Amino acid sequence: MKTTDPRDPLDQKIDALLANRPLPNSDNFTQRVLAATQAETTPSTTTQHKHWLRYAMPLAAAILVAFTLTFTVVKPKPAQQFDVLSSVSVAEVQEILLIEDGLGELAKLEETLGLTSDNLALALESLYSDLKS
Amino acid sequence: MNTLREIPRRSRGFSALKDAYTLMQNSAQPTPIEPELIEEIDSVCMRTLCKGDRSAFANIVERWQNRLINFFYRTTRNRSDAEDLAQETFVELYRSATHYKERGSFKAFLFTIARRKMIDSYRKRTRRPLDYLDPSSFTLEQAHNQSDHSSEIEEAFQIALARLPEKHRSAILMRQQQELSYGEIADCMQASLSTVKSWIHRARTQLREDLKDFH
Repeated sequence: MKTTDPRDPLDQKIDALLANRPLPNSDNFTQRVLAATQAETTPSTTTQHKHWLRYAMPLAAAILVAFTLTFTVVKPKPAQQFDVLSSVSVAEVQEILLIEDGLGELAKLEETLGLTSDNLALALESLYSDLKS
Repeated sequence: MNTLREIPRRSRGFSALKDAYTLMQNSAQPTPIEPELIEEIDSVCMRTLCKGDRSAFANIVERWQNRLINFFYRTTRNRSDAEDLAQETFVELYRSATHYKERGSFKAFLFTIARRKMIDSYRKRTRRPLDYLDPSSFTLEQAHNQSDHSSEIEEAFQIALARLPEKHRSAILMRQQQELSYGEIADCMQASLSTVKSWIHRARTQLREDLKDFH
């Protein structure tokens, strides 16, 4: 498409104005651009720290959660159970066995005689009063 | 030192091309360099830049800064803003060097980035181009003018250019100031060839209308 008439002085003037580049080169423009690209490629120490911190916080939180769960879920050691039993004397063990036997017999009485807890309490009370008198 | 034509095409490395280019530019009778050879220098520079050679990038900046700054200056009318936009364009070019494909032209690639930067700056400022006028650059511009009449027409031309729609202005500047082909402009602006021609025609008609008093 022909848009310019070479004989027309106005067209010639417009061509000249459009082709004109009025600004000369800046002295330090290339250095400025190179410095800007250098800054792009070399991350600063602050950026590196930020990068490190981004991972450090979740990592610390994960370690904390792991420690908390380890100490709450841990089971009591069998040695501790053994210590409780070893602290009871022989006499006390015998007493415990006698009470267990007594309770077993009482349960049998309840089943065979149909004793309820109220009747049993009354029977024990009358026995006690007989013994006292 | 060889000229560009004497260097075998396959062995054209960055250093050889740079030396030949410098020789041709600095010789007493500067040799006109064919556009395809300049295109090849830019392509070689981009390939070398991808390999991490920053001197190739410096070479691109040296050769294109004046054209790019003046391209932006015609829109912003402010040297500082024009330089900032040119710097942003070069930084973006540096970042996207790996995406550069030699199938397209380097000029189209560069001016695609440049135009994107200009549109971004419009969005940021949400002001008309004429709103930011740098007095220092205007004084500099006036110093370059030879007479009151040329200053007057330059001023009228700037105003007329700023009045054009962005697409029309960019298209005509790419064609007339930056010497891009219609095809390259179409690539840059993602438009058809006929649309680009129509934009340029309308821009020129509008400029003629606005400057008719200087006939």
